[in-house]
Amino acid sequence: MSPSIRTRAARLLALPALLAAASLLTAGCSGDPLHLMPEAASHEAHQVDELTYLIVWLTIGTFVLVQAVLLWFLWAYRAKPGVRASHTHGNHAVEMVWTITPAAILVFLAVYQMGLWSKMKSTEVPQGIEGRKVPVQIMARQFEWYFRYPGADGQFATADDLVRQGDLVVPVNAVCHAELRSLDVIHSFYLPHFRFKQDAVPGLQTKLWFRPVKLSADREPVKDRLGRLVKLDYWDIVCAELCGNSHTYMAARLYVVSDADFDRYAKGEAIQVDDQKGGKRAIQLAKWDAGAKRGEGAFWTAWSHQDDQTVKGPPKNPKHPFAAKAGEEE
Amino acid sequence: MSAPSAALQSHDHGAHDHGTAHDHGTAHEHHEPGFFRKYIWSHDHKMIGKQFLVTSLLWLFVGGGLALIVRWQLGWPGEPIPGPLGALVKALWGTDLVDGNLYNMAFTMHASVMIFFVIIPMLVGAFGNFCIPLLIGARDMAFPFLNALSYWFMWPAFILLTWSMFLPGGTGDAPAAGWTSYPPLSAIAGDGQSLWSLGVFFAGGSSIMGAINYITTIVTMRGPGMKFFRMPLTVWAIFITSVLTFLATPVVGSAQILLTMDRLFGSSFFIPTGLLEGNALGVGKHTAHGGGGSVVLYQHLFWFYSHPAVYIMILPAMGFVSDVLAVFSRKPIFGYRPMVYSISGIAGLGFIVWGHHMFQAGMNPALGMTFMLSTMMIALPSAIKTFNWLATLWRGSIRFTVPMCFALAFVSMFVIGGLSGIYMASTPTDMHIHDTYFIVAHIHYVLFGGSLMGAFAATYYWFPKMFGRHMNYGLGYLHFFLSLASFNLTFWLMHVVGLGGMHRRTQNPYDKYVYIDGMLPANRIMTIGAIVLGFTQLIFLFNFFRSMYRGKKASQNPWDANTLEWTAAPTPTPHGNFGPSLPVTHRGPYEYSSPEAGGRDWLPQNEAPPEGAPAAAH
Ligand code: HEM
Ligand SMILES: [Cu+2]
Ligand SMILES: [Cu+2]
Repeated sequence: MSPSIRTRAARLLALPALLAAASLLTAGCSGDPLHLMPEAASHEAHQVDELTYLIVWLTIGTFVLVQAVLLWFLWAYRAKPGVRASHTHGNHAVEMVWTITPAAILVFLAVYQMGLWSKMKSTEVPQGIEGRKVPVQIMARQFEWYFRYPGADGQFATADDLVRQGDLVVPVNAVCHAELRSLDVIHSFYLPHFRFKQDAVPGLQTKLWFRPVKLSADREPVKDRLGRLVKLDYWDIVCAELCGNSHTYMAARLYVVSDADFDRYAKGEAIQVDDQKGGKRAIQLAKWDAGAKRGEGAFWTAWSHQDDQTVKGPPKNPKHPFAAKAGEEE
Repeated sequence: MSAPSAALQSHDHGAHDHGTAHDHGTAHEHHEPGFFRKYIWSHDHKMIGKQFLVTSLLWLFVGGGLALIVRWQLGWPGEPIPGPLGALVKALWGTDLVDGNLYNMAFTMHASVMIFFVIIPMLVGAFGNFCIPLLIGARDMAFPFLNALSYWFMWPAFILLTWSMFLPGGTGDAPAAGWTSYPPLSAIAGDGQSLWSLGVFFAGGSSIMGAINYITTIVTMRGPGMKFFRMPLTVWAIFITSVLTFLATPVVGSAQILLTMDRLFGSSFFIPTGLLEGNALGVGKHTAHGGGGSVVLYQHLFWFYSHPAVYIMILPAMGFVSDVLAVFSRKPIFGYRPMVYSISGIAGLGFIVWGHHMFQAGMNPALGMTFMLSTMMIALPSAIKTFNWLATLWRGSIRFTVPMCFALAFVSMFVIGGLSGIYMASTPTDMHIHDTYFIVAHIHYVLFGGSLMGAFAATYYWFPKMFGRHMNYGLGYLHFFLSLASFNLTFWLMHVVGLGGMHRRTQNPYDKYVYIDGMLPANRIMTIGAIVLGFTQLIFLFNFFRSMYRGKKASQNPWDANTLEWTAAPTPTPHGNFGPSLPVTHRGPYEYSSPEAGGRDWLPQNEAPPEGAPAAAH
């Protein structure tokens, strides 16, 4: 291989390295300059965005480079009368370069993101994350989200628990420490504005945490299909895992409110939120045992049943051939 | 020798100098098998390849129609499907409005059809069958009977999956749990799901039979002089693909059996204790039997197959593209051995990355980290291959034939799909984009932009060998330009809406989520792209069938290629492929523009070096 080829190749491969450096710099300034993601509403969301942008610059750089080289070659080496293609089977030096460069970038990326992953997916609130701790249990079923608070005693699965379907309320800057479960199929608890997602897997009690840093009432207006700006006062909770024929409607709302509002809410008082029709809507927690009174027997029983398993140990299934006859224990 | 000699033409069926399992009974010279043995229950690898090709091409349009149902609903939610598609849907399912059941069935069956009935049979079944014996200088596959069986095993799968959409319960009973069919949703779904599982089982059986055949053929039946490292990359790719198929497919088959037992016989492999008994909303027909099963176990089993399967769906195309690029750049492939090693690397790593589909599925995050590492590393061999393709073009003499255009599109589009893989390999970013349209974009850049473009390249390239005629290249260029443009129109924006947080598999996301409502205009554009893309493929279908009978007659070696199918096997290729003696391979497949070749710029693999010349190094 001639020296001119080697320098040309070296020049080609210096570019990704430069790009990597450049992207590291741009990643330093946070935000979402290309408006790729929904508004970020948690500290961790900003960190994910930084990482995303690092990858955006790296991949866009590689993309432009590769496509440009491709087009350049297609133009420069199109068949011309009398010109014969060169006969070469490869070149070890160049191939080493283009093996090692991407390998280095990929290893760097892999190592670089580990910290954020283990922080965000930690089942306990990681050290150094300060803030009021708000415990919540999230129960998913076809096609609703239920949110349960422990009530005055601070214990779940007791009579003073409070519960509400469809609305989750947490105080701003608090650390919401949640336990996620499902009563039927797999669902996925997705907070697009928090860049957070966790499947609700039947049979597992998954612990998760998130930390809202922005009041949902301060959410920036979003565009609807006609380009009109719509003001919303909640962050979206999305079910992101196919869960049946009404999966698409399995939405809930996350209200991030002031500490004072939250305190009232957690005691069972109503708080007012927008109803998106120009008026107000009261949201209020219900007593845990009110479900049975409303005739939601099977659902409430199943939920209590799951509680028993987590609190009292060995699994019981009334339908199981070896199970005690229903009613024998309770 | 660049053109077939007269001796080649008057070949003798009876003479087998190689102990092939070539099943021709007591062959007489010029004995033609009857219609049934020739076209239906054929044991000839070429005919079986064509059977696979034609059936998978037809299924492509079934899959496409299903996709358009999905796209229509996302572009014009709640409005009746217009035109002939609307009429067809109405005739089949009694409504042209896309409700939750129809929608879920449509995307589930779209993916199942495209994966199990189009991409795998086309890449592996059609071209694997057609190419392997011809390219390695063998008379047929090692097990011709098994080969025919592998084609006909697809038919129970075809019937079962079709049937599953037309049960008495209509779309409510059809498979609707996604191509992944995760329990418990799939465990409580209607009867269609059982038919689906059984269908997948048959399709898997077909794949395994094919894989055994390919591996055996390539290992034991390479013609004289055809060393492993003289095989075209197409053969290498299918060889390694077959190893993947052989090792991974039984696992998904087992998963489907266990799932079916959970559904029909009251076992609970995948169903944990403590679920809501019955189904409060009357969605499913089956009741889950609770008891100690694990939901995540199914996902492990499924992805243990299905991640290798995504490579089963791309490696053969990488092989075709390598061959096509070399032929039309008139250059040896750059880094032949590194290409082989990186295919092997992809295959090996492909077995330890399955967990990247389960990052958010409740797997221990520490385990997620190891899968993240291996996933990052699997992007590396893909990168190496891309650079090698580019370097193959470098200083070539590029001829923009239709197959070449599709091969170049493959390279260009695969780069995008590979790069988007990095977003998802990176676990914290995957948390945001998992189960969004970003994944859908990724899938389609690798599987449509990659695999299908590669299959198109292969079809245009080998068509003259298959049918002795050329396809119409005017229509070919039209097909190419329209496909490339409308493909990108359809799928590029999916990256954007995916990052914007639009989740996948959702029939009317605009209704509940205002931030997704703003993405409706983008979705309309994608739908328009998809419609154009769909119609464009009709051009291809028309061209394909018309050219079979009307195409311009092809010469023996229309592309001036080196490999044995063009240089040693006559066209039309008789049963047994080669003349009385098998071609002897003297060199590697890519000696284009070699100084050894004199005035020509190609040097057939089976051309003996001139007397006294030093033995070829490659
Ligand atoms: C360059 C290397 C690649 C990397 C790093 C990569 C990475 C990934 C990751 C991490 C996911 C899971 C995303 C999620 O669900 O959150 C994924 C999904 C997927 N990939 Fe890739 N991928 C690569 C290449 C390919 C290729 C070559 C194909 C197929 C030809 C492919 C086909 C798929 C499919 C079909 C899915 C989605 C499956 C589903 O959920 O339905 N990928 N990829
Ligand atoms: Cu859902
Ligand atoms: Cu994968």
